[in-house]
Amino acid sequence: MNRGKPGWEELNGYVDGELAPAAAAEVAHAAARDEVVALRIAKLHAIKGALNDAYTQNQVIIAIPPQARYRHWPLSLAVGFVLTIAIFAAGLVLHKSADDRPSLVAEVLAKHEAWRQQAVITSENINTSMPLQLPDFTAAGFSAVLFDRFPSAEGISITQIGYVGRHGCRLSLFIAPAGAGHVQPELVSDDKILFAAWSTPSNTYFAVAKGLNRTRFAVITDALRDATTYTAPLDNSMRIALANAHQPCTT
Amino acid sequence: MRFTSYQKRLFGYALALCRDRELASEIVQDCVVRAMTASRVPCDEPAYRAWLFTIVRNLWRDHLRKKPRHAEIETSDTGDFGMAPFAHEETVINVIAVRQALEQLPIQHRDILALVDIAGFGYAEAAVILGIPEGTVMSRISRARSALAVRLCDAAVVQLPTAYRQGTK
Repeated sequence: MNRGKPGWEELNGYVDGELAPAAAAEVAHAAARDEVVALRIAKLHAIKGALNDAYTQNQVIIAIPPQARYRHWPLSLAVGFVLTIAIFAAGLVLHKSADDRPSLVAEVLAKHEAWRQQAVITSENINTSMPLQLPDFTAAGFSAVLFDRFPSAEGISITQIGYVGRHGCRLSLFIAPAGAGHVQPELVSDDKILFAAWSTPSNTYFAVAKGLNRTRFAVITDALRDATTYTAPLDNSMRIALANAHQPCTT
Repeated sequence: MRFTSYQKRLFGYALALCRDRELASEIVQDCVVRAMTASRVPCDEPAYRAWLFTIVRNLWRDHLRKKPRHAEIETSDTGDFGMAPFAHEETVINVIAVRQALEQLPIQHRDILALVDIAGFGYAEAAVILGIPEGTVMSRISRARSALAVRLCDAAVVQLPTAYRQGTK
């Protein structure tokens, strides 16, 4: 080192804690002797701190409309599985949509839309008052705030569970008896509406959201599918994936 | 829950690289998915952390390859700036100004600054992630900070005394 006047690289190495002890001591002595050197070090620390703050604190994630900004389809097997479920479910029950009654999918989409238009009323005792066990996403930031039952056009009793995320995103889980439902693919042609369906031996499930990032919806839905299929608590990896799924809705 | 503690910094790193919140979020999401589905995961924590950031960096590079219209133009801004001009009386840096200034930098500068200042890597770790010698990290980070400081001081440049710039004081 040029004794008494540290170079720019040395000052940077100093604030990064990368200098050897002897070199760091020389920089410290130079700073003690020379106000300009001290100010440079202070400034470098300030830049370093501000950079850290600017990119790691108080991040408000701004979602862009998925149609405009969507870039690629999900990579994971888990996400792919959800898509497979949706396609499979559509293919499985398509042949049933042969009359004029509104399909079950149309009904659940309408129900979800109607709920989206309402103010969220948080029900603190919903988990205890419900006659079935809810998939618990509390740790992942989703709260169940709605429990409703309604008859479909065919007289089937449908259960709706409404989840609200920390950023206000709403996702509905509809539960119908196994084998119920008409699926008409055109109903999901609006890409802002996200829909997935899957079945267990006892129930058919529909997940509906609007304006969510599709990848995130797929991850969330996959967790729902696991929770309803295996009635097991979320594992850590899925909690992490869900925690990362926090974004405001775009509509 | 290994991933959780790095989530903010991963997002910050991705955001610094791509300058696009939506894309940064997607990159981090994809990073989570890859980490979750990887057959082999580093056991020790420093290696795991570097592995995660390398995934983010590779995803960003993949994105650049797929979307050439978004490709970064490597400017001549990588030259030696020497001592950065500082407004001596001002040591409080506006966070918004820093973000705007960083976004004006070429990718090479943003990458090294994000790894060291946002992700918190040491020079040795950053060198491994970037695949460059440790000494190059030191010179690159100093050039990047100099370029950043130039942009931060655009509106209030205090010219250093000639003696300082020539190293004779």
